[in-house]
Amino acid sequence: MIDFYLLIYPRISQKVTCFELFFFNLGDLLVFKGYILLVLVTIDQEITTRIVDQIRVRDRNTLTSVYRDAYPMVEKYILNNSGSKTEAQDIFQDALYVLIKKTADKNFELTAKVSTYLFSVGKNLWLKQLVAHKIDASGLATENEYEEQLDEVDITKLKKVKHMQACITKLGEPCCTIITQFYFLKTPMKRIAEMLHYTNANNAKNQKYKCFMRLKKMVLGVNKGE
Amino acid sequence: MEEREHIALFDRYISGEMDAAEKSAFEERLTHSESLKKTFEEYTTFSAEIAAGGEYGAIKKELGTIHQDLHGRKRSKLFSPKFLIPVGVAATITLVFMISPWNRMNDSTMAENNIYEPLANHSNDGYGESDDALIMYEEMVTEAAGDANPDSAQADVEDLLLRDSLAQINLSPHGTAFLISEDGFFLTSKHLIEGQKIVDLQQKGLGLTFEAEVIYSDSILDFSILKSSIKTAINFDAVPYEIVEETPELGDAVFTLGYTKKDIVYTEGVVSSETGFESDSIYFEVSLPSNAGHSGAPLFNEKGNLIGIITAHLSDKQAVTYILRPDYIQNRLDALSDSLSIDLSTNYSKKNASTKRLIKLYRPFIFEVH
Repeated sequence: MIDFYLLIYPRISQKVTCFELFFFNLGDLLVFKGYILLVLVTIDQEITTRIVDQIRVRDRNTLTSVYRDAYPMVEKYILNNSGSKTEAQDIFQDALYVLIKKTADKNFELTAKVSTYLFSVGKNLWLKQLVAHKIDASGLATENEYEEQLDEVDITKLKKVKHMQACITKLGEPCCTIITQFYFLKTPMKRIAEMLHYTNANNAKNQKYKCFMRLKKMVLGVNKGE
Repeated sequence: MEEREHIALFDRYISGEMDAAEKSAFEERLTHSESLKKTFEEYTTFSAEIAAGGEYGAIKKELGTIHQDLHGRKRSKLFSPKFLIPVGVAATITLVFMISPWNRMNDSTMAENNIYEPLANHSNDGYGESDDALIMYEEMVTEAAGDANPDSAQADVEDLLLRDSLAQINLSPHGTAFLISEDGFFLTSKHLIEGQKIVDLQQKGLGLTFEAEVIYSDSILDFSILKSSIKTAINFDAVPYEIVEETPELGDAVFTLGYTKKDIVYTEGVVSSETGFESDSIYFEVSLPSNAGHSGAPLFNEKGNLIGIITAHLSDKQAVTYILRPDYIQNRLDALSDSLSIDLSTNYSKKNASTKRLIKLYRPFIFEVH
């Protein structure tokens, strides 16, 4: 049995949150309450602001749909320009990270579609990386009506967090857990001590201090080397 | 002062552990000592950088799982999860039927055998424990409640509520369930909740009683997944144990926590056979004294990993208990992961902790089924 449904934004009912129009592409087949639906029309104007709001709260469904829409473009671009799939994934996720961080600012406004923005940022990041690896990028096509210019501040910020994250991972256990729990998740020391089975919070504090010093050395040491 | 002490001081200040006097003294020092102020600012900047790095890692990890979901395995659009799941489950069931003809038997034929006995507790008295003391206590409390508010309508309502909750406490649990995901998913035995859509779960240690919905039942493996969406259940910590898929070996020491009476009971044993009732390969056997109410109780090994669910025992033998194998549970959860999205992440846990510590840690995650 085939039926025509007009799915009207924001949603049909409270329960099916993923049934928001921008989630689908034309021609998608989907199953809803026992019916097979074929998507005939999608409207994606004026929804960008809503998507930005959803990205701000890091809504998983929205991130997934954004990922699905925008990633293939970026991957294609990077594969065509001497990159690998792993690099494409890394660059795209960095671009999405930049977007997530930008949405934290309530005044942030997106002038283009989300996928266009991500493609542009991803391209920027990739060109920067090519230049950093001393690969001639001047010949690469840059014809695109929309160009998102990343300023140096964003790039250095991204570099910094990437470096920090790499160092934290390199610390190994239990330092990695202690450091992320304490400084990122702001878990109280007492709770961390329980989690890691330290006999008291003081032991955990000592361990945290050692981890902190190691991390500091690591972060600063590599910075100096550069 | 040493850097270590500085950091300890800063941490106390930032986390708000200082009392007002100490706080103002510290702020006073900050304004006077230029060098202390500088160290403090350096420390807060670096902390913020660590937090940003941690956040980046968390976001990357999340996006990584999204990538895995989208591009990890190629899947035809027609076969959306909703189509796929029933087919997948039917296939496994057929497979199980072929391996183990014994499973064709339904519960009534099992009862006729009078040997294989699921461990649900349908009587109301645990293992013969008297209820008198508790009834006396109930009377005492209800009397006291009546005395406190003699004629108000409020008192009547409270009295009723109290009676209700005491009546709940008075019942022996039918069996045991345990949390597997901080989102409020529980595992238990299927025969415990036969025909029920909603069951009551209770955890006296945390003072909680709440309803959970039966969202999946598997009569072959005899296990069910319960989901509770009420606030108290959602606010759980990450589960401290994880399912290990390795086959239990003969002689492995194991222990369990279950509700064979109105309080949690610790029992230990050893793995005694690699197969279950009549060499059934879905279960394995442990030499562990089990009683009605143990059904659905988690079985842990020495390291504290979850290695099965207690299902049944032999009624005329001592300490022969059948345990559902962990790999079957894990496989079934994996097969369901598309439609149920159970977050199985567990808390970091140090291996080789003492059993006593494990018990203390695990206790809040194990619930009575009513």
